[in-house]
Amino acid sequence: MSAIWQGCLRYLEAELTEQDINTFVRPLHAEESPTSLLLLAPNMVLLQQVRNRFMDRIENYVRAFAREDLSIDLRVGTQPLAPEGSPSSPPQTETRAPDFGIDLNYSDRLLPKFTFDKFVRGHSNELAYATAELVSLQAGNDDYNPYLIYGGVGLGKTHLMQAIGHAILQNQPNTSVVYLHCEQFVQSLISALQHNRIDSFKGYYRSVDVLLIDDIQFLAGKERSQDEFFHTFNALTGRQRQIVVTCDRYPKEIEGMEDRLKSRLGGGMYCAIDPPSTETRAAILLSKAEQRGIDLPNPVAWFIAEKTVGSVRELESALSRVIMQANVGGQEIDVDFARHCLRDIVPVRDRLLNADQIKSAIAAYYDVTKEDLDSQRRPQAIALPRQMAMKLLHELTQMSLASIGESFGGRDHSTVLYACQKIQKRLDENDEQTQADYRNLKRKLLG
Amino acid sequence: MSQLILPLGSNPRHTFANFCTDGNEGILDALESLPRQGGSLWLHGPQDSGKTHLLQAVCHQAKAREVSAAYLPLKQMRELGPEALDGLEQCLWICLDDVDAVLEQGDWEQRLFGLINQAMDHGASLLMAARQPAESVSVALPDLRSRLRGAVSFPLHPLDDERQSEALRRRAHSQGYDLPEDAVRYMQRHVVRGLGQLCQLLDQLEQASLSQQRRITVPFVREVLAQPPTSESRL
Amino acid sequence: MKFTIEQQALVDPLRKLASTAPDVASLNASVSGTDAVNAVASILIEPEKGGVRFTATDNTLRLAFHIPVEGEDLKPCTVPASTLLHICSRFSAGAEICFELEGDGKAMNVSHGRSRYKLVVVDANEFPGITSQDDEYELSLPENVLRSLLSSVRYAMAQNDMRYYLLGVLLDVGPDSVTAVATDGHRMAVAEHAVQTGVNESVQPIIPSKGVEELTKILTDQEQDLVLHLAGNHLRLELSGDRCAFHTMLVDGKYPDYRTVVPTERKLRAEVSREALIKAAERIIPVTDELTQAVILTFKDGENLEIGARNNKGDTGEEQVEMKINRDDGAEEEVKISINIKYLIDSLQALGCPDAVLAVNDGSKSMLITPSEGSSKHIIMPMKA
Repeated sequence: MSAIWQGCLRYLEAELTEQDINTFVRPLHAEESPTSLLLLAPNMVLLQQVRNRFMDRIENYVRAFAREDLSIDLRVGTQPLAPEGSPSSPPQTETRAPDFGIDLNYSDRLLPKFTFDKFVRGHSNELAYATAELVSLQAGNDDYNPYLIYGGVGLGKTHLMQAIGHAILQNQPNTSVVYLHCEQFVQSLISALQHNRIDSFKGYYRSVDVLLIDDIQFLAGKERSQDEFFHTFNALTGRQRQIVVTCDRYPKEIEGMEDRLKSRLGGGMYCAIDPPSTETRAAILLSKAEQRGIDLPNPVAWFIAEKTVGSVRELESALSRVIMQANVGGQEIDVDFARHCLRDIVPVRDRLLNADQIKSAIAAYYDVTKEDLDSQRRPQAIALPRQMAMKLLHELTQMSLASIGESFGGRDHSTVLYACQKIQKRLDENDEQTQADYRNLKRKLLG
Repeated sequence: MSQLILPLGSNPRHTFANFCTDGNEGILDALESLPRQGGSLWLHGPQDSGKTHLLQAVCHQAKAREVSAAYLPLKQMRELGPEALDGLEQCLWICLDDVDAVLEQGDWEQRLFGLINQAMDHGASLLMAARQPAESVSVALPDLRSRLRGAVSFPLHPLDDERQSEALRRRAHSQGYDLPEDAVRYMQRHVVRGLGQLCQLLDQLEQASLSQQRRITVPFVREVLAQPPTSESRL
Repeated sequence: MKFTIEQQALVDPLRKLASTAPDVASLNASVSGTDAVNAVASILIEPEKGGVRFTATDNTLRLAFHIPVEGEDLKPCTVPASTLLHICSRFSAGAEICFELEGDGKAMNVSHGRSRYKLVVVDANEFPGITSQDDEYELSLPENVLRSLLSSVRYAMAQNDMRYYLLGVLLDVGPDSVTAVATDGHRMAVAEHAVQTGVNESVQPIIPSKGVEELTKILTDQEQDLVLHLAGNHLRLELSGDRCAFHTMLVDGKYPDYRTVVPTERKLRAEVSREALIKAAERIIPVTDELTQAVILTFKDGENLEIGARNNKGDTGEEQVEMKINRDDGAEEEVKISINIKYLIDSLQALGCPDAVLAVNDGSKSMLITPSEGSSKHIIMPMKA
């Protein structure tokens, strides 16, 4: 194992909690070469966590205790399990392309799946899509610079932005396209400041041809970063270099963002992406299914589109679940099957509307009346059903403890809390009757 | 004005040495013989029965033996999405805490199933912990259910007062000091829930003891308990 | 048995020995008066080649001096440490003090001029020894280096902490360097010296605070190599020329990883005159809060270092010391940091050079104090409102 990394681990062990170490740091595999320290993370999710939460500490350590000039590269990769004692073979890495300079290697990869042809169009994103295509053909044109795409999470902003990058690279492969999340911009600035490399930072960001920055709202309240971004922005647009940014709202509404930056961001072309209609959602599902080579029946797509609330990402994950379960069970996908697969999602949406159902179900299950549950009487026969009702209301609805208490004949929140703890305790103590009741009721309520 | 303290903490703190077994000494043998065996273990017991402690201790042990390991608290990782499990089969010891938290959770089951299979192919050891025995958790994927039930099962029990006190004193000892018996009793009388909270209190006492340069005694514990918890200071 | 010693040749070692031997009054009353207890509070006098050897111990620490005398019929015996020191230190310099053991070996006659004392002797066999195992490691370093390492960090040792490993100085000995570290959790001092030590693997003995105090008293600025013998929980060393032997038990425990605590980057560094800052800091003590002894240091470009304090009666004070600021970033915002004034004075006093560099990030991060020449590092954690 790399000696530098071993030292770094010791340092991190003193700095971080045991859990962070064992969960995020220990699974990293380190390879040391004369010029660089390569850290391999098992997957992108853990990589992001390491980068966002611990990278500054790792860099601090390496710079201070090992070598000023060592570059640190964090990638997704696997180290083949070599038998002990045998020389380790070189790691198989999945390179994050393209490799921009050594010290400021913060850019993320454009994901291959985010291209124009895989983007599902609908009324809600028509304009944003068309503009994106224009931008990709006329990169740097003042009319579209910057191009700002805004809207809620999971609506395809990142997809569209990366599609612009892909299209430009396809037409002009030598263009330097940099995509990064705003947070990484901030991180690289901090790191450049710490290591007295602000000039390389400026040089790097001002030399790119196309700068794609995701979630610009992360700049809010970070004055130094805004300042640096503002200058980068001016330098790039001044030289007809294209900037594309995404934001979760219209920039004017971001609190803690300098006015001059707000006006710059709104100074080119901007388009909103609205949540897709059910029709678009169904179309998205059909397209995603097709990409995976699955023949998804129309009614199933409509069923999922209607029943899943939330972002396109959630829609996609619902689809994934149906497909995977169909693969495992070798079953044909129809509406009933989809309903079965998504049973824990679908009723979630319905149950929010109706807390009364829970009380009725419990009253029926324990053979008491709903009035008994709400009454002030406290015989044992009612205490347990009432506690169970409070527990389930707490678990299955968005109601606060106080409002749950209120709905049981004006009890206060501590009574509800006590009830929840009491039931949880019985569950934890493997009280079979309580466990059975709890399971049955949940099954009954969640379908 | 309160004095901030230097980060002298010596994590990790969960080791086999400071684990108190309650009538199930076999568990330590089973865990310590992990690397030769491969295979999978299922630890189950209510809160405060030491599941997390043992899994963390395994990771600690991994460091000493230069074996790759990962501790995966699934309940907390749920929000990161099931992709967080990808590629982890490259670790030789995989510790999955709160497995029940991701069962019947769509993609999670599928990924978990995949991870278990790949880990087995690699000859890795899997340690799983949950509140219930593997037989009584509900699993949507039949194949996953059978994998989970195939693990060697170990029940864990919460410690009684006396063993709890021993556990606390061992923990203190591993941090380089002796915890007076009467202070332990005072802590046990005034903390409602279990070893986990007692350990948290002990951490807080250690920090306060460094900051105020006082020893942990009954009056000191009383003072600290009377204050609202403060956030730990870091360099 | 009879021998004579010149007053100064005796009193100097005697002071060090008397501070090693525990005071009888501090020992448990129920056991006082027994031979074993009296023996601990005594000095063992043994004949050895070319003179006698005076030894004192407190069961964890053993200190012995060789005193060249000419005498006759020498044999081991013990004398009460504090009584002997009290008497002998009051003879004038140059006095020849005569020691003569009574024929039955029950008392020692100590006399000079018209003064005569008869001190009760305890059986030399009662004098406690410290048993040590065979040598595991031997390492060597110049006497003046060990002295300077210990004296630049010892102020930071914990005084009364329940973590016994903090009650001493860590010597982190590697093949080509020795680092001394002390910390009480609020501040830390680290001093390193590059030297070939003769060990292959690093060893980390923790010398208990009493051992550190005694060592700094006996070590001198000679450059000859000392050989330190490390065996299990024991550290033994002999000063060159057979002047003195020192033996201490070590603290059993794992010292925190000090390297992770030493800050690596501090964006603002201010160079100040050490002496001027110490004077200002000492003046301001009476107007600091009695309990926290907090002062606020303000670092601002183009201005003097400002030290401000306010005590609980409402008195306030402000001191200014010239400084030269040096920054990595172009930023110019001022930095304020609250620290315990005593900690600042302690670290400055340990520096031993004309100028000091104070390095800070902001009010919540530790302050690093380094000498303008030399490599010791002194870290102080700030206070938070």
